[in-house]
Amino acid sequence: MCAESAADPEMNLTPALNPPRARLRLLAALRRNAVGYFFLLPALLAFATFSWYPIARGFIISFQKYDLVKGAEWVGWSNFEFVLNDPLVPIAWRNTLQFTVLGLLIGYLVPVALAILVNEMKRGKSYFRLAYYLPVILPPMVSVLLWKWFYDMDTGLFNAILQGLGLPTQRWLFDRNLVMLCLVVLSTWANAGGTMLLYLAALQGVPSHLYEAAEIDGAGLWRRLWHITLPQIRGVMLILLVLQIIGTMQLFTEPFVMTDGGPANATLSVVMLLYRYGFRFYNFGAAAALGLILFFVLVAFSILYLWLTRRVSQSQ
Amino acid sequence: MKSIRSMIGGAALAAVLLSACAPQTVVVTKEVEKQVEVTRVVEVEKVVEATPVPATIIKVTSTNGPDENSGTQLARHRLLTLGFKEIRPDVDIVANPSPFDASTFPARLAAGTIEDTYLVAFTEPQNMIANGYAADITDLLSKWEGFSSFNPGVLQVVQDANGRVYGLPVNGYAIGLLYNRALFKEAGLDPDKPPLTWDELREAAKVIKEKTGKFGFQLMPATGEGGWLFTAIAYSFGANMIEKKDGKWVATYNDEATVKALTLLKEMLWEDETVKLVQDGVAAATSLTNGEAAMHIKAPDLLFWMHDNLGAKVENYGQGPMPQAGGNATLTGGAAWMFSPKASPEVLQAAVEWSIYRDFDLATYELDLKTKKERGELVGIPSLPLFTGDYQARRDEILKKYINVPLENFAPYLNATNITMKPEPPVEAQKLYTELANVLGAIASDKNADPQQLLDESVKTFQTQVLDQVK
Amino acid sequence: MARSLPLNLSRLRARASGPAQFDANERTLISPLELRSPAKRAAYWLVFGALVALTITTLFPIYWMYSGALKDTSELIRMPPTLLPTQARWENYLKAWDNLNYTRYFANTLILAFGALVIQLVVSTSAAFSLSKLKPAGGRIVLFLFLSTLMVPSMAYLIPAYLTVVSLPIVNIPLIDTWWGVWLPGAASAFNIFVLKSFFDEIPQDLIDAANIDGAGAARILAQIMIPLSRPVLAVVSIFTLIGTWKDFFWPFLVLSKVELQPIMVALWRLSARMQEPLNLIIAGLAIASTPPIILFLIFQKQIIRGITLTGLKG
Repeated sequence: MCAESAADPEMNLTPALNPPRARLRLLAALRRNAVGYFFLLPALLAFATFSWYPIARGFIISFQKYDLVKGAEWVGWSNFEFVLNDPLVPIAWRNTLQFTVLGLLIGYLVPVALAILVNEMKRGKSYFRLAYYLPVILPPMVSVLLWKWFYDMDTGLFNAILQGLGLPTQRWLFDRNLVMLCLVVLSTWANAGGTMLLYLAALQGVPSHLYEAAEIDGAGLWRRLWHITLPQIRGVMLILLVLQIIGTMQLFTEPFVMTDGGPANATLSVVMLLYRYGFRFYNFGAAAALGLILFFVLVAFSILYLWLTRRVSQSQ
Repeated sequence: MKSIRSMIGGAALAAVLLSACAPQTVVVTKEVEKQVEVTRVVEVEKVVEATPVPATIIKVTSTNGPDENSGTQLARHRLLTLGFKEIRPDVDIVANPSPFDASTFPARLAAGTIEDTYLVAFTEPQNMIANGYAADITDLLSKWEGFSSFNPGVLQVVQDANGRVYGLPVNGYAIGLLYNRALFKEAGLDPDKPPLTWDELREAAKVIKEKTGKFGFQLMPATGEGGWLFTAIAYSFGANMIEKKDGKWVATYNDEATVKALTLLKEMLWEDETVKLVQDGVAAATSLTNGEAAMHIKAPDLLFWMHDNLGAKVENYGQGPMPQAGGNATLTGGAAWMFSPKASPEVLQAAVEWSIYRDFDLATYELDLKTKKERGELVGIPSLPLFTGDYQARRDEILKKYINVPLENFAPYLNATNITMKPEPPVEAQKLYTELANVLGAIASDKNADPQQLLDESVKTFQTQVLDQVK
Repeated sequence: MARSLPLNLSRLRARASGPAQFDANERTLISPLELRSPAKRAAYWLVFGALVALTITTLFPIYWMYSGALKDTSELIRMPPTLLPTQARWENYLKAWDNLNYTRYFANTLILAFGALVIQLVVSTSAAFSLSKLKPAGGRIVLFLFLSTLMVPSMAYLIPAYLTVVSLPIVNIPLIDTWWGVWLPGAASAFNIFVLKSFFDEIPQDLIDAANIDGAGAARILAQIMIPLSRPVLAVVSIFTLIGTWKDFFWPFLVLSKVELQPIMVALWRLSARMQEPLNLIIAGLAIASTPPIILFLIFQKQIIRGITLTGLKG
């Protein structure tokens, strides 16, 4: 008896004091929301203090001339004028988009493929999981040293392989046409293991009876893959796709560490330019302005993405 | 003990803070020298601890503190701080082992958590000064006796256009030609005679490639450092990069001199095929240590890195002056202590006094060299004299006692007398170096790049985007 | 007066979607039957071989690091590298431990990593749970606000973020030179919340409703349904967090200026930047530093497999 009445507030009250149903529903809704927000509270506090507040302050700087010693003064739109008139900015956008597209073709599909293949292996799954994740564990200092050697024009591994195969050697990081691809390959190698793990976790959730049913229906390997496996992990795939695009548009570490934006600005990305503005030339207003522009582009993209995926799922 | 201590304390105080004549400094040095042995730290400690603690303590923080794992460095630092305590008992020195880092500097300066004094490379001071992020210490320095004999060629690195001083250089190296003597020998070239002109260098590179199969020369076509090194090369051809004309700043680095420099590099890279491309400082050091390339435009301080970090053998390397092609000039590299613009006047004064004591006091200089030698580090790589005259002569005397590098290998570098240390480009040098790296990158990746055209375009962009905005 | 007995998952599941969901889920895309055919078996082994070959690209750097630590520095930097050290100097590892004062930095790294793990898991899991199952009003906006933090490059607000840590707004507490200065900002991970939420979304609402009818409150649903069913993704997120914190170098370097508090990656960077130690000892230090993450990974990844028997939820 008690349990039921605790669960249902409506039963708690005597008829004489029974307020109208609408108000009770409102109270129940409030309580539900309160519980919901209670669980959200730690995150809300953390984000408010360490993300939203600093980001907002950062955005304000885009309208200021920010002096580290003397403080800030308002300059209106002039930072944005500066950024939009800088001939390096379109170059940076072009490079970033180029990396994002390449990153999608290579860096997005590779982990999915790896996960599906590894999942099929009867033996050695643990080995593969560890082996492909090792690049993520490896200290960056080591991977940078090694990859710089891989791409070295004279003593490097890749050119040695090409020579062995009788193919012409490449200039890799000093070739304006290849350098972006070099960075994408490096980035994929360094990160695929992590996303692969997420896909593996998702693949665990695919019920086997679906496969059995499909086999009974006579579906071959590829049809099963296309009609069962992929749709089942579609949620994770779509989410990781949008996260990846958002992430690669903020490309910074690889060009910073490997090529410093070169050669001849071929790998100058938007965030690299932002870093230069702020941390090399001490122009924090311009850096913040560029950051704000990037933010709006990414927000617009996310909204577009959400709208598209909703259209797609609605049409199904 | 007490009377000697107060005599030392008083004499040191006089020597460092007030204008004292030379003989007194010599007396002080000899006295303090006796206490330089590390084992007597404890005794000195006791003595200092017996002194009453002043009411207010000023705390001075600095970067590049002693490595916490190195007994010798810690001991040296302890002795230094004790010695300084006798001069300024109201100052506590806290030395953070971390180095200066350009990426964290802005945030820490904005928050006021930056150390009071930090050691930076020569490429930083002008940028900091121009933006108001360096403290003006001219008045504090003028109280120091040694200041008047500071080498102006080195001091200019930390001065602004009006001659105000913002930092203390502690070493300076003219950029020259670092080369691999072993490869020279192998190629049949005389290792004591590095090329002195660019034409000679081009020939030597060809010979090395032919006879040893290794690259004769290496080039850094990326990063600000690459742009900085190219500026030095252009200087040796006679270029000025940025000049003031009719009160305006004009980019002039598409002039004949710079074009010649760039064309030579391009031809060496694409026609002679004697040039190895290196991405950054680490790659440059590694490649030289590995013997992959024989010559590199650099100051000899790279040898510290190659020896201490990468295990290179110093006997295999030599240093020549910057090859010339009409300019008779080169740039300087090195390190300088800068001071936080947010430090209060008392802290600033204490920090400057500490810097002078730590780096220019003769007794501590000697102890430093002694410690380095014991650790097996390199002592005696030729650097620009920081001072002129008598004081420098005394420093040189001390240095002679501890040199452990083969000085003959540096003879050509030391003997080149007609090369001027030109200052960095007067404005926006950092942006210039970034822009030049861009141009070099184009040359490095495109066989058909036209140096004149590239420089013309670059000058145009740089003029409108950067120089025209300078007030 | 809710029931104090733990929720019975199997009973709930049975009620929610029927007994047909129970599988010992051992089969995946390819059925065991198919592999009987020699052609299919050949293809299988071919793929297996290709996958193994590919792992050479990931194993080689690890091998280079561990074996490089045994070399002399001049041999170490040789390119192409020697496969076996000409003279294996096992003492390099000991020297690195001593010279680099490893014990302290190691302890710091462990504290930082596990503290961050606990805080991040608590914050992200409860937030993901709320947004996924409790769905408070305005939840979509909150989620979007979380996500929007991923769309701003961290460089752009580095200075304000640091200023916040130097002195927290309102309470004016400095977090500089404390572990909290690393733990708390790290707690705001939109990626973790988003990933966890999307996995939580896959858990059927019927299960939750069934639990509700049983009288379970939100906390019990979280503890006894959501978390047990999400072991694979929680294991993955834990791995990411641990290893991310382990490797993290820039923010700890900025916030922890006191050397006694620094983790191993910061200490190693500092020592190599100042040329304090020869490169082979630095590499030895890095090799030692990489060992615990590998071990932690092996421990955690088992959780991904264990999740198999509890899935079979989608229907």
